[in-house]
Amino acid sequence: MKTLISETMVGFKQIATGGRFWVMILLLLLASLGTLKVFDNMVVKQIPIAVLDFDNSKLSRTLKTYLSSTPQLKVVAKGFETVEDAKELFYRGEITAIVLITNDFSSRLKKGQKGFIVVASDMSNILLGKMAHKSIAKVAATLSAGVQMTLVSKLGERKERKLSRVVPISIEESFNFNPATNYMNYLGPGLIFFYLHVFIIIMTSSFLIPPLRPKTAVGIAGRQIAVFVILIALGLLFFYGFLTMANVPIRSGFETVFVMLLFFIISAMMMTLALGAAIPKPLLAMQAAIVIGMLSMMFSGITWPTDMFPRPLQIVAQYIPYTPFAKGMRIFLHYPADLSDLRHINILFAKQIGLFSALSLFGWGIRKLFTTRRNRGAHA
Amino acid sequence: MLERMSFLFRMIVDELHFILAEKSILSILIVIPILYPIVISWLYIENQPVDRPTLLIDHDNSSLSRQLAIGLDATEQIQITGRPYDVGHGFETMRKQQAELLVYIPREFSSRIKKGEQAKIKLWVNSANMLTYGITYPAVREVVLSTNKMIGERFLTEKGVHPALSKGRVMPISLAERLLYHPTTGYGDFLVTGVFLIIVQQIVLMGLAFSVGLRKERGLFKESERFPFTYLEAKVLAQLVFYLAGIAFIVFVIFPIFDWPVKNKASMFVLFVVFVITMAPLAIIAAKFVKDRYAAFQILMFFSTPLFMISGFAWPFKQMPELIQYVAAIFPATPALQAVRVLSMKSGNLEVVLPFIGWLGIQFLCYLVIAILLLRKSFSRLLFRADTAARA
Repeated sequence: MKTLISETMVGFKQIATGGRFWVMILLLLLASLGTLKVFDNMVVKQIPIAVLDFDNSKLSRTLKTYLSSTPQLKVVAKGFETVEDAKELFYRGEITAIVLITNDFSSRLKKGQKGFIVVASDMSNILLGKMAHKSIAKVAATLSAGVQMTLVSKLGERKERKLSRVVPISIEESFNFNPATNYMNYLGPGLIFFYLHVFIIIMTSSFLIPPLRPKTAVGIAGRQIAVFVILIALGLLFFYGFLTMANVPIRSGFETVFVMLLFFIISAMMMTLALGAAIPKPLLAMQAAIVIGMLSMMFSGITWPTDMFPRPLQIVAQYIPYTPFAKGMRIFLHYPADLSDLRHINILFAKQIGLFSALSLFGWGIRKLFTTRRNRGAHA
Repeated sequence: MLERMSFLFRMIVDELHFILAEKSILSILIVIPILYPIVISWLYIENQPVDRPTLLIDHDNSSLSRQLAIGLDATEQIQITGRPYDVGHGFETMRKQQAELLVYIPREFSSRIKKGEQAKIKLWVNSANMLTYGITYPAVREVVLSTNKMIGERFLTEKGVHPALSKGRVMPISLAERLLYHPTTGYGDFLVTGVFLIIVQQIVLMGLAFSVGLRKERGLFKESERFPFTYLEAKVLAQLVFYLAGIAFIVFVIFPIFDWPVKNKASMFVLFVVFVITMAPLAIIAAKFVKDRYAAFQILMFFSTPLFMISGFAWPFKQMPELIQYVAAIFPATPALQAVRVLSMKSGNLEVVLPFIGWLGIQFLCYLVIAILLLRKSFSRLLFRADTAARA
């Protein structure tokens, strides 16, 4: 026990005095803060669109006014005369959509025919394109409802029934787990804990490679305990420091957050140690662990749902520590959850830790066997 | 000049021998550009999330509510996977992330419509994943809109409007949509091409840093050479063969096999090469500071994702705070990724991305000057130390 404690203290000292570790920690913190800053606006606003009004009627001007008042859109005065000019604006990203109100727009409506608005949206960035398109469609639908209500009124419908004749079914929506539908809540926590995942792997590996690799198992354990304590501190800083600064609320209690963080760090460290035990060359083991780490964001299901992966990759994803943690975060960050709500996540962690422990023991056992045989051979 | 060229050539050959002798460098230069693009392409092969698990509670059980349910299930985006008996049970399933949407049709749904009153359906959407929310919610709205259209037309017909005319009177303003450049709005198409560029970035940074770090560990890094910049330049040029092979694999093999969008492969190849050239002095600057081969993994891995995020490729550039935009403008990934977007979806003509290539050119010159000054400064410091030691 004394040896373990002294080895742990050596680990702390090596981290505190190792310039490289400070650089790594600084990069981690800067990358995390910088990434959170990217989503400072939280939602996409003021998407530039151009409006060409060839109708110039009261209705078309109303449409333009509605478009200008939409917070997601910004009507810009971009003059262009040809399709080529318009293409240039799209290439340079100066506009995301062009709304063209045809010259017979209001006259067709007066005759009881459909009036057309041509909307050309740049979908190369689906985030911008979809938002612009959705906002324009909403404005058109609102105006459309207004026109239809005028007709319904002329048909003698009572005032209080007009809306229900135009919009007989309405949707009462409730956006759960990210009610403001903002990108900070969606991507912020996912990205910074992905960086932490990569950091866990690198820090754990750093004490498995020369020259810092201790010679004894107790030495390795001591170093990893030091790493573990620092990782817990960083994890808590991310939750209660960075996410709080970024206005991402944590709806679950400290115990739930802490336990999930604990399982995540233990699993990630065990994976790295297992690879270190299974792969004889330390550098190759580190490379393998980091390759897995760098792919973990994509395998986590945060952006691309895991049920859309090919089946073999779904299985692989289950054994990457970041996957259950990311799924768990979706629950405990956005909803007051306790550990029983996260039972299915903890089962995944338990499977991972079990597998990695078994791999570590197996790898260590094989190594010991070869070393013993080699020594016997040398003595003979 | 001749002496420098001769030195350059010798060092290129030296680096090539070193790479071929060291499997660990080869693993970075060959395995990463093969493994990562294949795995990532395979991961996003479906391109578009479909059949998102949806729960439906229909307490109305009328022909209209059943029609609505059929309409929802018939969409590509939604699949009704369960019919819980109440909202509490349904919400619990959502909380466990086993469903993304819960639709509730109340008891008086169809009777209200028959009476000419507005009927509400309730929707709980898991908006924690904005990608799937962005697919499921519009799908529900579309189905409700179609149903509203049908009810509206029926109402007008009952009021004496000719059926053919009532079609034009319901939702009279119609959008003629032109979804430009990426009409399928596939997520894989949107993301993957940019990820490939970042992979190439990491190969350049890490390949050189690893080689330099390994040489330093083995005492094979001769910093006191007469041409300090040329010494590192030679390593980049030697590794260029591998960078080009990696880029060729990505552009001419991966792109067509997985059908990732590209307007002109040759233009895309040229862009990647320009990017690599711009990265070269930056890689030299980074390699200058590594002390051993492990530093490549310990330090440089933290650059890939943050640089991707601040580039404007995913989250729009102009939506970021100004400070982040200024920081992003310094890195080659920013203009390169924006050019990748154009060449993959908008135009195969290199002329269109000339402004981005110009931006890369300015970065290249700045980084080149910094690299030369840095290496000269360190070389001068080294000479001064050697001179002082000799006098002592």
